[in-house]
Amino acid sequence: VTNGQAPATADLPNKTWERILGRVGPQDALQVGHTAYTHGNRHIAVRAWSQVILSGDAETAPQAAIYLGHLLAREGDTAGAREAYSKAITSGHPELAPQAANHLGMLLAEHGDVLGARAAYDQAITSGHLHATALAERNLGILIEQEGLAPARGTPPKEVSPDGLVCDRCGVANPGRARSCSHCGNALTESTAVALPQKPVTVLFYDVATPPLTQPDQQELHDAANRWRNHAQQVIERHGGTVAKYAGGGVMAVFGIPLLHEDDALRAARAAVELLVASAELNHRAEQDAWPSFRISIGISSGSGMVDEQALVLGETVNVAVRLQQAASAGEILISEGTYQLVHPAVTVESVRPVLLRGKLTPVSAWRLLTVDPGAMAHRRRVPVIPMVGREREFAFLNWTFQRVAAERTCHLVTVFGPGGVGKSRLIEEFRDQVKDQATVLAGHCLPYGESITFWPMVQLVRRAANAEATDPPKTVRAKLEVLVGDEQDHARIVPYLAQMLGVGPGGGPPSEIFWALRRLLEILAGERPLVVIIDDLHWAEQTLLDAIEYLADEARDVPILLVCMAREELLEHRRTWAGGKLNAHSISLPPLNDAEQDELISFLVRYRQLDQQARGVIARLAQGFPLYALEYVALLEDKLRPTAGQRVDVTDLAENLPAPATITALLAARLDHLPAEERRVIERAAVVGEQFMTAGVVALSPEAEPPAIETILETLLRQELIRPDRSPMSLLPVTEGGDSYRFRHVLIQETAYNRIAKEVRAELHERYATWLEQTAGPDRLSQFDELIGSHLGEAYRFRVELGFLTGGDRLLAQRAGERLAAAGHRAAARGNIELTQRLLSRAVELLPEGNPVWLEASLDRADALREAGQLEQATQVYRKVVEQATAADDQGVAMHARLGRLDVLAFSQPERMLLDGDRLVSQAIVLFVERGDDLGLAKAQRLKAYMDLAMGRAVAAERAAREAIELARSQGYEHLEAKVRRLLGIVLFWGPTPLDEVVAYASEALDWARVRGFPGLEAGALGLLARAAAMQGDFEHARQLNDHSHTLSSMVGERLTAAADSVSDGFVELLADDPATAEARLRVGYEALKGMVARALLLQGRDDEAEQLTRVCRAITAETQVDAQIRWRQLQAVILARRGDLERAEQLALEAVRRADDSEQPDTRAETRMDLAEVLRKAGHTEEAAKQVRGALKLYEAKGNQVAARKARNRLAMPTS
Amino acid sequence: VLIKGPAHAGKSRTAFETACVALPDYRLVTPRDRSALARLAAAEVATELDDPIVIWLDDLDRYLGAEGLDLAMLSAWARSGVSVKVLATIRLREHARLRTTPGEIGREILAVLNCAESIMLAAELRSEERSAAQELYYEEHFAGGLGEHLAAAHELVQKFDEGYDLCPEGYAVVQAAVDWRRAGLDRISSADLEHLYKDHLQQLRPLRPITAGDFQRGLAWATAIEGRTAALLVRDNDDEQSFRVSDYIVDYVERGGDA
Repeated sequence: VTNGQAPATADLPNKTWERILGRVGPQDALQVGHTAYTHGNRHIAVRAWSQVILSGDAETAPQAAIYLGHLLAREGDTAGAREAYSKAITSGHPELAPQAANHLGMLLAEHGDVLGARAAYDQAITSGHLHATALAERNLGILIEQEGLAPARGTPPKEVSPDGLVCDRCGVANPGRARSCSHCGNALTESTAVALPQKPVTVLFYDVATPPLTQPDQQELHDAANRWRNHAQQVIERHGGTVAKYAGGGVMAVFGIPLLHEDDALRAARAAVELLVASAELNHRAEQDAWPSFRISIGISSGSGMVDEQALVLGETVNVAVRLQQAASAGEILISEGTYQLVHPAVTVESVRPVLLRGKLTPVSAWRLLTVDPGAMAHRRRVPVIPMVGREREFAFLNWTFQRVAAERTCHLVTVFGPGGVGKSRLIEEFRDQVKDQATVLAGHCLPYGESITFWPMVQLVRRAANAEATDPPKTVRAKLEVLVGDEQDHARIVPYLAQMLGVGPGGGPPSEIFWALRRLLEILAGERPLVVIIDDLHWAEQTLLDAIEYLADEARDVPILLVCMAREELLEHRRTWAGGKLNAHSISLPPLNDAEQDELISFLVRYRQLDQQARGVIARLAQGFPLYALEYVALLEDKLRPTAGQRVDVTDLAENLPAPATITALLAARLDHLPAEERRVIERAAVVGEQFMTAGVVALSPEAEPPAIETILETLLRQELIRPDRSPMSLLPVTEGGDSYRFRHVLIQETAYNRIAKEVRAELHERYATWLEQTAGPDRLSQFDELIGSHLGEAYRFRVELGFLTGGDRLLAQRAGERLAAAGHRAAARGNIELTQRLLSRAVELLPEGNPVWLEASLDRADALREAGQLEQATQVYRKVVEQATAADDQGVAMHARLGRLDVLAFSQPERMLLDGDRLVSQAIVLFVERGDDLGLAKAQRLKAYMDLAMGRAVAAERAAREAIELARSQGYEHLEAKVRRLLGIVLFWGPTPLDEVVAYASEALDWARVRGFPGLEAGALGLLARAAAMQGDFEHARQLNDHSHTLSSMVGERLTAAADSVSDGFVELLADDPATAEARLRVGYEALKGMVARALLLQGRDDEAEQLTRVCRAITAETQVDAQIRWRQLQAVILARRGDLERAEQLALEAVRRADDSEQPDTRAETRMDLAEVLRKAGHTEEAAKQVRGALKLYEAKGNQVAARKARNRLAMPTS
Repeated sequence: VLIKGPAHAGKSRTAFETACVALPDYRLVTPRDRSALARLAAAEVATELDDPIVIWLDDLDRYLGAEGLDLAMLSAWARSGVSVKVLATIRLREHARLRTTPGEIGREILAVLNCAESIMLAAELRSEERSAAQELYYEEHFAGGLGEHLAAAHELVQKFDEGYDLCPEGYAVVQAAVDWRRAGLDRISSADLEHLYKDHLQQLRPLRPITAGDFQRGLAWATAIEGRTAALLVRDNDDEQSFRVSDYIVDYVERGGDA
């Protein structure tokens, strides 16, 4: 005390804290949280502050959010802290919101998110709050000093009112008064979402370090730099990028706004290379004029970004691009991992050492970009050489058409339709290979963007036909065209038009003339041998090219020409009549691969890698018949596996958690971005419903549209192959109520559509859908929809939490969600669906307020499910918590259920303690449950009693308890529990005095019961019993078959603990069958506690030392109260000692075993101990005494009906006494 | 100025007497609780009064935390143009707990504590102090500290301990008020007290049902004045239906009943 030190005060018990919290309003709760925090009681602090936040109190909730933010920040939970501060910011509290913005800024700056930090400080500064502004200005000053960020140039910030609209087309947020988008000019509608959507974008950041302007001709140099900057902007815009912002002398360009393209990353890469070339030209000029050189460095990063009201992209992607640019040397382009994944088939790169970026703990992978293949198409992966899988009919059709074209000398147009990644190119590649010896094959592809691209595919194929190189001067190209056309009569007209098309001759000719020249050229080429013209990506073709192809198909005469085009369904959106009304035109629609074909494909893809069947299954499920997806997923999986070489990893688990491949996501995101707004809205709403959806659900989410309009749009989406009809028999609602059922063509389409929606809107749509479901289902059917309603409400709540600031209504939302999920979870528990129970109830307890009665019940069933899944430690923790909370809530019943659950866990982890403490607890439980009329509790207690009685050799009492438990479980409709007890009763009967015939009758009945109700666990148990009985009656073959069947079922159910114990049946059968080696192998598969039986198997093989070792283990781990195990280690040790000649101790142990066995009610065990004692006595020369023991055993075996063991005993008696 | 020391070392009296001597012309302003303090800061009472003032924060821990005393308030008073002194007391245990609070919240608390000129006051009287006291109050017997004596602390503790057997209802009522105080809250209302005391009483008297009369009996016992001036539970001057528990009892309970 004299030093001013005193021990910190002891904390209050949590129960007391909670009682107090239950009495106080937000203001006091805020202080309680503060005090608890100063006591180091995190749990109560969080609880108290959450209570304040949930109260929605305008004065105190923002402060609580700030406190919570401080706590989470200190614990390193940056995301959580960020969320908490954001809540305070969105509260708009005049003092606390700017204070929170400052805290958020500091947090973000500390974690390297410079732009985020800056935005937060800006927010604090604009608040006008004196103190917060001063602090934010100081912090921003530090940030600018450290990071070299200059204030953004360009347009001044626009004020966006809270009711501002987000543009449907480009995603940019606009001021509330705006009627058209300030960025792309699109008309704005009221129905558009306000919140900022996420978009996959590629950010290019470049910086030009200009030399110091000290030369006399500095103005000229300055002008040159400006000219170059303008040129750079043109380069970026030509490739479809938008120059978004200037910062610190650098320039940020974004690819993906206003519209996404599937090849945005490739466009950025092309632009970057072009910028380097431009800078080299500038430097060349500088060198001539003896100026210092310009140094350009570029960073590119791809990922998701949020587009704000100034068309600025915010987020990590920007940050990484900036950092990569800073890390790049002069003349260097560094690209991020995300970009590399998107462009690597089309570029050459060098790997560089991972770059350590400021603000990041771990280095980030980066590549130095060297060149981009100018003709490369988006996302074309260098496919490994694998045979084409499936597609026999389509391939045959193409061949047949070609043969007909060749034979009849006609022109034919075939269009192969299919979504991206379905395998169009692979099919055509195969066809091309097939016909290349019989025909001239020319190919070209359409480009998605660029200048002078109208005839691009035709330019490609004419150049190839003429053998004209890209580097050939115009004169040479023209000469080659002359040669190609030869001395045809139209020669003088054809060549100039072709030259014009190729850009090597004077222009001015109308398109019709170019069409004509092209047709003539193709006719000339086809005159020699059949001609196959392949045009890929026709959906990008301009109308003029489509006209040209149709013209060719119509007008080419008396020559064998096959025009093969490949296109996605989008083509029909802008050319509905494509190839319509032509007798010589056909279309093929390429569907995804069927299961068998996909399997075959995956087998080829993974040939060099050991992927187990399950991992392949996961890939198949993810790819859904799209070969490109399968390819990407396998590649992704291999990438993930590479660093783990030599380590043991769960490949299936890895496969399950694979992210969507970036290339495919980009492909789909671009596809959706180009849909008209109303179609995109419908598909987004369908995505909220789920992978499967019904028309009525989407209508319910679209109050602004008329139902018939939605139906029409769904039909359009169907035509575009984005969705397909769902013909599965399990529809959510009858057609009369739900309308037509649909399913997304691929789950990634659903995901991509879903990810487009802002979180705020998602939350609202999920809640609206759940409410609609509740109303539609009505009270009678509500229980069928519990899981679905609960999941949607849970999602709504999750997004509200992520967005911040929860209201009292949101708290109710969480409770509604929790209650529905809990109801569904309880039903799953009663059915015994362990996995589903865990999933539903884990979520339910997260949503429900701790200690609430529904929370208690849900936690209890969850703990039971965890226990049954073998997650004993976790189960114990949950039980402990339930006991604590139930005691606090004075719910003795639930507390006792949880205590029993813990006891059940002990059966596996600490059997000795279970048997010691269990008796008393179970007796208390029985009294309590009888008093309360809780039959379910009573059933559980009786089951445990049966278990303990069995373990202690009290078979008769065990049988009584088990039968009672069965009755009680049945009366409560808990079939899963009933099944468990039935299984236990089987074991009780088997080991007890019940004659074998009756055991068999019981097992057969249990088997039927289990099969009818679908309880594979019990089925396995019953089969195991029948196997043992068959073995005891000498039918070993049948016994083995039954056991095999039993094990298959066990492994299906996922009851790991029971499955381990199944090897007992195997061991039992094989030991009776006198095959100790097999018995050993089977038993070794089993659980530790089975060591006793393994020891017997070893002993019978004469491997006494090994047997003894195991017996020692057995003895060490066996509880005194575990009667059966106590007997077994003594029997075995006795035999071992006898064989070694230590007859005295052997006899002592064997007698002890017999005595203990006689105390039990297990005839088979009693007989077996006598047989062992007989062996010991025989070795000691007491043959008469030995025979007496064998005769005793024989009687017991016969009484039980164990014929095989009885026969062995008889044989022993018949053996000569010597 | 912050005077810290164990409970009933005489911190408040020392502070008060010192203020009377050192700041005779100052007006004493006693904020009732944290929100009153916040109002005081916001309303710029200091300038309105136009007098030098002493802001009296007895048990400083009650004024720290949400909306509580912070650097902004201190610097606003410092800039107000009127002489403002802040005179506070704190129990050592509370001081130790608050001083070691981690993170940003701890930083905020520490910033306030570090602003203070701290004076440590021991519980025990030094021998010369004791003789001086004895001389002034010759009829009294100063076994412990002066404050302890004046507040009848030993008698309170004795009464509290005896309540365990003699009046479990009262003991439970006091325990509930102590819990409330330890949770960082100040006055407890009669309704809250009645709700929270039941837990304690149930533990003390598990076999007897709780009746309505129990609470009244307990409350009467706890609020009865012991010795000269002190009661275990003191009724609030402004609100008859709310109570504060003696700090000495809070401290005693926190020490695990070790007087």
